[in-house]
Amino acid sequence: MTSRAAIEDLLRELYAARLRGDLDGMLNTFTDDAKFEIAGATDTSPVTISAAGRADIRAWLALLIKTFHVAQQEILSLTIDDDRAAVHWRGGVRSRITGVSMLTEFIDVVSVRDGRIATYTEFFIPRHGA
Amino acid sequence: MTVRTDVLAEFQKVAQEQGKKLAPLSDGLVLLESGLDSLCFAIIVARLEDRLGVDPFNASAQADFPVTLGDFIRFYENAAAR
Repeated sequence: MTSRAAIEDLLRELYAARLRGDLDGMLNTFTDDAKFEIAGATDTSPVTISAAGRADIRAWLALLIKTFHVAQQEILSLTIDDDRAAVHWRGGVRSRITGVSMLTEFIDVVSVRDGRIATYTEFFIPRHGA
Repeated sequence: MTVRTDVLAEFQKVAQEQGKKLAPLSDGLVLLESGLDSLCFAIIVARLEDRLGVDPFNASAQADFPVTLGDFIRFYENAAAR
C-alpha cells in the first residue's frame, strides 16, 4: 500500500506538472493501465472524456495541456483515505482557441496502486469569468 | 477539398461524435453559440492540424481570437497561405 505522504506527494507532482504544461510529468504519475475520466458541464452541454491506458491518456492530456492553460491554481482541500484521495481545487482556465477564461472548480477522485494513479475521475464546473 | 470545406466537415463530424446539436453553419455564426463546447473546438483544432499541417492558434503571443465561424475559417485560410 502506498503511504499517505507518498500519495500526497504524487498528487502535488501531478498538479505541478499540469501547471507547467508538462505532459510527461503528468503521465509519469499514472500506472500503465490507468483509467482516466473527466466529466463536467459548460453553459451549453455536458463534457465527457474517457480513456484507458497510458497511450490513450497521453493523447487526451496532450490535447488538454495544449488547449487549456491553467493559472492561479489553488488546492482547496486534499483528503486521503487508504489508497484513495479526493482533491478540491480551482484555477483560471483559458482556451487558446476562443480566448475565453473561466474560473473553474474541480473535484478529482483518484485511487493509487504501487505509487501511481490507477484511476482518475475529474468533475469540473465553471464558476465565472476569470 | 478547400480549407473551408475541411473546417466545415470537422465541425459536423465532431458535433456528431460528441452528441452536440450543431447550429446551422454560416460565416456569421458565433462560435460560442454554435452548440459546440471548448473541448469540441480543441478536438477540431487538433484534427485540422493533422489534416492541414497548420495550427493558427499556436502563437504564444496571440492577441486575436475568432468570434464567428467566418473568423475561424479565415484563421485557417491565412495560416495555410503562409
